[in-house]
Amino acid sequence: MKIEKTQTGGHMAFVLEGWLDTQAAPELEGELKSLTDDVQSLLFDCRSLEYISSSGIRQLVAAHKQMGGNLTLIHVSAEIMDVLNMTGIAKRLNIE
Amino acid sequence: MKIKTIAKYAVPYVLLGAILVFRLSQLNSDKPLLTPQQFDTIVWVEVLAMVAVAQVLYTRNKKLTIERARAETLSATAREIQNGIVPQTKDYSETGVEIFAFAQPAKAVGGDFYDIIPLKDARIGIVVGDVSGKGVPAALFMSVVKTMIKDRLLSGTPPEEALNAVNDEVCGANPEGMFATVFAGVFHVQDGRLEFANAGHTPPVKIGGENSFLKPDAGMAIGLFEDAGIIHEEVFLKKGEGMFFYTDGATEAINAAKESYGERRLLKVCAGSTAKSLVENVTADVAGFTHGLDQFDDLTMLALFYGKGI
Repeated sequence: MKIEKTQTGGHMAFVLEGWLDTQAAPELEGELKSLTDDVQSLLFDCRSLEYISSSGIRQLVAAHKQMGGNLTLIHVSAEIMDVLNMTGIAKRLNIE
Repeated sequence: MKIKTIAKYAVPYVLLGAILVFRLSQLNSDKPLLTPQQFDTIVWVEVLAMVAVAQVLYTRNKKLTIERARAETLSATAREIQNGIVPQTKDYSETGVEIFAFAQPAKAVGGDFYDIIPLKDARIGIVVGDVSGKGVPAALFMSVVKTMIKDRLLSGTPPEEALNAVNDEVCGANPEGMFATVFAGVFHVQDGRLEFANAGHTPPVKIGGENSFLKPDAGMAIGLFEDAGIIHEEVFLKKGEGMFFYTDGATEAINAAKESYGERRLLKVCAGSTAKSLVENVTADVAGFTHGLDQFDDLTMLALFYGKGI
């Protein structure tokens, strides 16, 4: 999976491309760990995110918690929304 | 073995080959570079080096064989334990109800589970769940979650309270962020009522006349966020009707053309004269669909028929 990062002041945006699965989850985990303290809000642009597995879901929730809720997901595909809705986490994440 | 390792061990053999070739080329030379004695010494050193290499290779291979045997024994033991916690098949019947369950991990052990829990007052607890991931970590998490839910149902806690309580408890001690989707129900044998609560699990199929998917509230998968807010719901089965529970190892099964089995196929194939034959029909259909490809995800199914049984 490719992660393209853009930081503007205290706001960080990740553009996720490809599959967020067991192989890719550690990459995202690494990026989250290396976020500096000045990053106050995080955005995941999911327009090119094709698939998310349970490892991916774990990372999403971890990111949400790490940012104290200041994580927003945008351009989430219908298939991935189905997964987020079915597992019930769509209610807790900020999805626009 | 990696290329680097092979190259390392091949060096003495290659050198000996080079020396032999060099020697042959010197046989008919008027001015040989080495005396026969010098040459023989070099050959002897080479032979000793080859013997040493052969010895190292032998010992290494023996170690690998022992390690592999040990890993296989561990795997077989884990599988035995898993089979004790979640038997591959389970049959349960009493007057008015017939249940058949089937569980097949993708690896030796896995995170899918089912539970059939006879309760007081002619009720039966039915639980089906799917832990994130596969293998040993999923199996470990599964055995904890399964036991917690069973204990609460056995002590009379309604299914939604059981799932909410287990969720809060798990959230408090879950550094890896693992989660489980679970469907927990209590079936009343005397009147066909199924009380249930859903924690983010794949919706079960209601069997009878025309099959349809039950539409439970999504609730929240267990282990992710506290205060899941899972609610109590009910559905009534008429005699002859049934329920089919499964994990996404069925609907997400993939064939060579990268298509997934899907909910629609499942709805169509969900038929059988007994709980067992229903499970067998679905299993056979999924296997036919994937046609020889390795099972990617844990697969678990449970069928319940009301008004049938001994």
